[in-house]
Amino acid sequence: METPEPGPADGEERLVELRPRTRSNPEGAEDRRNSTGSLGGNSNPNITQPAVGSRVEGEGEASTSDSPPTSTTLTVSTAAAQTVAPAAGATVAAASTTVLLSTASVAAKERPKPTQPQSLSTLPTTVPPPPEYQLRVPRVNCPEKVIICLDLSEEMSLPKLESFNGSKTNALNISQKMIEMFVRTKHKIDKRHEFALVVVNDDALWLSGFTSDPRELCSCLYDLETNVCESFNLEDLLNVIRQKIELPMMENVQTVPPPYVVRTVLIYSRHAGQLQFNPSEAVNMLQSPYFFFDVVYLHNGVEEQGDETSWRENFTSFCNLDSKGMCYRFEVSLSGPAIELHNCMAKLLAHPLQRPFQSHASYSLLEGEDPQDIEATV
Amino acid sequence: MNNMSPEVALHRISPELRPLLCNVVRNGRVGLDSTNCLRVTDLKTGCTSLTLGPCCDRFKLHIPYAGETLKWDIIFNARYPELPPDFIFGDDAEFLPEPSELPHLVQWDAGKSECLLQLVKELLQQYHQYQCQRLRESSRLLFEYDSLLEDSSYHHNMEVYAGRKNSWTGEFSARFLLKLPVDFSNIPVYLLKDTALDPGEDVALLSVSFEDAEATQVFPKLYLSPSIEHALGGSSALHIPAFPSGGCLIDYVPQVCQLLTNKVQYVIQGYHKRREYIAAFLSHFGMGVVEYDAEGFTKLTLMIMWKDFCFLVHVDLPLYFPRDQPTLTFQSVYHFTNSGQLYSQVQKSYPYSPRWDGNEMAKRAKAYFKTFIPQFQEGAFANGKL
Repeated sequence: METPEPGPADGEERLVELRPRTRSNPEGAEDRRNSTGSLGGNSNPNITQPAVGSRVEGEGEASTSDSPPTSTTLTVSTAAAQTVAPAAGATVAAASTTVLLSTASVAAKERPKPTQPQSLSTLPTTVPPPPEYQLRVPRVNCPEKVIICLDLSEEMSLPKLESFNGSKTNALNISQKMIEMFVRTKHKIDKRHEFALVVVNDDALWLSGFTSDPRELCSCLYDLETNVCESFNLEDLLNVIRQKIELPMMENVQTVPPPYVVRTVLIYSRHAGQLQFNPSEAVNMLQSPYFFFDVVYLHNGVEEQGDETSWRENFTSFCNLDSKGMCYRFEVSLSGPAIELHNCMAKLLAHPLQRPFQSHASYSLLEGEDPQDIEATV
Repeated sequence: MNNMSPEVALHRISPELRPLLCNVVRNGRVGLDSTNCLRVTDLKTGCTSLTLGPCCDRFKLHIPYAGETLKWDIIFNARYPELPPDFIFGDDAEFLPEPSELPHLVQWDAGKSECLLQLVKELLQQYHQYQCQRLRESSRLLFEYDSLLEDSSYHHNMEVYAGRKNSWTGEFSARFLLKLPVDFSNIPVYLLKDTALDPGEDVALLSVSFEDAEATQVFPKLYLSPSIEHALGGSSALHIPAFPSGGCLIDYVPQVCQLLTNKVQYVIQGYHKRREYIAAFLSHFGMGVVEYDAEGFTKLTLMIMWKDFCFLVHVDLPLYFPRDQPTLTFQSVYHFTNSGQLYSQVQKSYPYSPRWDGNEMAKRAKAYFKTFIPQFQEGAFANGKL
């Protein structure tokens, strides 16, 4: 049951469970709100408890394998908020939701108070901007449109990964095999799934798709070359994607399953410089409950050295794109075993509406067993 | 013009008669067989050729009945559209319905668009009575009819066609079409929605043809509305036992009903059992779920890790689960076959009992995976291509 808990009493962040605003529910009528009566624009981002049986299986911790440095988290998100302050209320939610996903200590220190009033004043409507909310899309295995984005920067062809037999292989090679495994397996599970292939050099190029035939996609997969690339233009990639897709708009997000969902799987490896990303128009896409942005980051493992951006910062930036906490992000070392890369792709097979939060995912066969398998020695 | 679409017929009929015809072609399901609509052919006019069209006022109506198609001529008069039509009942010259027993003829109201359709229904009822009377020519078949009549389940859900007596052989034949009192209402909705045709009413019809008066050549046939047929597993759902020699309808028909009811129960039970199975598997393996059929619960894919190796297990649940065992397909995420397909291995017989509940099945499956996966892995590395 949802019980509202007004006030930032304990500074603890919780993912908010509110009946979302939709076209059929513009007032968020079924929300139970605190005494201020407002549905948002409220300086208290931590509000109600998650509903029973909902997908919120844990607290609002950042669901990544590495806990990002909190200051960096906030820098990215606030920057995002400030650049879009004049735009519609949705982006305010983006900024504030991003903040919500950070750790409790960060939120306690720096609430988005300053940015919110600024944005509120520019809103044309009298309805306050939508609050942070977690949309519970029904857990239906609707068809997926998967856009596989492959980074073709030079790092992908460096033979540093250790393959099964001990020899060295490169990330592009492994990626090609993984992608083939991925599309063939998804197709085997459900023939309605569709796939597209985008390659990223300095610009993003839509190579193939959407197609439900894995062979069609695989035929474009093996003639690719890498080259030295400039810093990654994420905005360009998102725009290319945005032009090719149409996201479903459902009257009631929580009860009516969408006809399909769109998922981007980005295999990313370049290290040069910081991520170029200005939220602008792509934010609406990122915020849709039917859009997912999964990332596999192949990094060189080098920690921050001097002025050079460490891979962790870039990784964190990716994580922060995930305003809903529903995306999967993996970081894999380029000089490690290739099996790690294979395993990431395997974990990415999971349907975004049915998979657990990444932090809760667990695949081990032996987990939770009592030690009966161990032979007792007398 | 013979075969015409309803739209053409409506276009050509005299405007005053159009509502009556419209009702017939649009809503016209008069008999037990609701999948077949009434058809209109041979649209003609009784007016002179000087009359400006559209002025057609007579046509042939094709009516499915007891597995036959009756072709009745319905004749209006375009100059007096308020009058009820005349009927010619095809070759059934001896069919003389009693007008006083046709309420919609007695109180014919051309202004009520459903009047013609209702009249046709009443005529059909009388036709049925007429056919049943003709069964008197065979005491054996009359007995069949009388015994069905006594049972309220069939009494009002029967169409009888007594065929023409073969003047050469003296043979008399008849066909009974029965709507079976089987309850389909609890079939899970997802099974019913997936048909291209308009399913109409969910119905099961049993047609039994007696080719001879002594009932030695009896041919039963089951008809299911498309969605029901699909829900019960396709054309195999139409298999029914042969009519026992010396048997009679009053014994045979309930047998068929029971068979269908059992199938329906199986399907309903199967759905709930599959749902329970998947729920149990999600609870045991849930954090490794890849995808599952959230509508019909017919399939589930899991990701399992064993010593840093990932494996997929695809579970396919059959329609008649738990009687039929689920198929397990193990797949390696690293290997392909020599022909470039995914490396996988199907297991259809592993420790299993339909009497286990979902939870037990999940536990046993887990135990089975533990014994099988090591050898699967070995096989993948030995025979698969990385």
